Amino acid sequence: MEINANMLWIVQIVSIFSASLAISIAAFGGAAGQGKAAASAVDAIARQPEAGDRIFTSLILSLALIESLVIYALAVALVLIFANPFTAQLVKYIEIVGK
Amino acid sequence: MDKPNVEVQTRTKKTPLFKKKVFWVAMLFFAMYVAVFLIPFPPVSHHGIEIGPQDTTFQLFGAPLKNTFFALFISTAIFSTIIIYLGTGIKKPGSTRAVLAEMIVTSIKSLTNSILGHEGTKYEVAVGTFFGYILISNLLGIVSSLFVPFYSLNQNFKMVIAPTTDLMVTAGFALSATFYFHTQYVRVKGLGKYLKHYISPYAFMLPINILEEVSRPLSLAVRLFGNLTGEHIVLEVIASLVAFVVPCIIMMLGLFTGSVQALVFTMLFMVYLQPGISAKGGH
Repeated sequence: MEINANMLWIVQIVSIFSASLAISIAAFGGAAGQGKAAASAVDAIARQPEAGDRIFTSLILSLALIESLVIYALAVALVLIFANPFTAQLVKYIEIVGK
Repeated sequence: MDKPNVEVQTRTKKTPLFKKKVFWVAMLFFAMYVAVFLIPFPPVSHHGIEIGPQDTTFQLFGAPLKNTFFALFISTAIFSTIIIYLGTGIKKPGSTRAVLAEMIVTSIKSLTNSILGHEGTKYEVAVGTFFGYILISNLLGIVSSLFVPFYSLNQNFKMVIAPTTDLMVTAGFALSATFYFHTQYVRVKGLGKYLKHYISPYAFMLPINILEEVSRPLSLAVRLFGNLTGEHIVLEVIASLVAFVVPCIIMMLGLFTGSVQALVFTMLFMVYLQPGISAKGGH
């Protein structure tokens, strides 16, 4: 397969598109899960206000655990946009071919 | 019974705002912030979002030092100063310093007690250290946005940034936490029980248990790094659109995010520590 500068454009376009896709899907799922967790926690506090502190503690913990999955998607998107390994590899190849 | 109330009322009598020292200090900071934008700066050469570790002009044995290295030094200095100021030289109970120290100690005690129970009294120091250090590291990022106008003057103004936007720094926090709760498991319950909890409840769960133990520091590090980096990207994007007052809203959100992430790191640290030190047994 011939390596030329057009492939760099294709890799960059695919990276940008997949980064935004990853973030949007992860944010959708994370928001749905966090909404469910927060709704049931508010329900529980309204039913039993004296247990509010313990419920709040476990709510924060579970929100953090749900959010961490979204954060993994964010990390992948950041790598794709700011530190893309495939683009760097392709630039190196193109330089070798150009010589 | 009436006398203390009267005293409190006289003490908190309304003083006009312009007579308060705090007001003039705040006005001084605001004037400095406005003055920074009035100084004509040379045009910024770069157009991009710069987040996380960047090179500075300082070098160590020929290798350029990253700015998060200095930022970690700054947050260490602030944290140690606060702890030394609050921990030593309290003359009398009831002074401001004593009340502040008591407030911090009791809140850390109640935080530890809410998850670890009465067995957690030994671990209050570790929990408080993790919480305070990570909190100050996160909140240094709010201070950093005041230094953004100076970036075009000198590269070295980038040293004031949240050190937790570097994955290596958060990995350091997470690895030290992991090392701590593994060693505490061995110290409290013994090496035999530590090795046995890898094959409990069944022997074929060994790979799953090992995977769980490996993923703990990874998730601790990536969570802290991702949250802080995301917040700073939002801050920089908003600041590049409108640089004047609008970023303050995002900065207030950043105060919340930084505190919550420090709390979450500490709580997960305690949750991971609990099976090792509680008498009820493992998970």
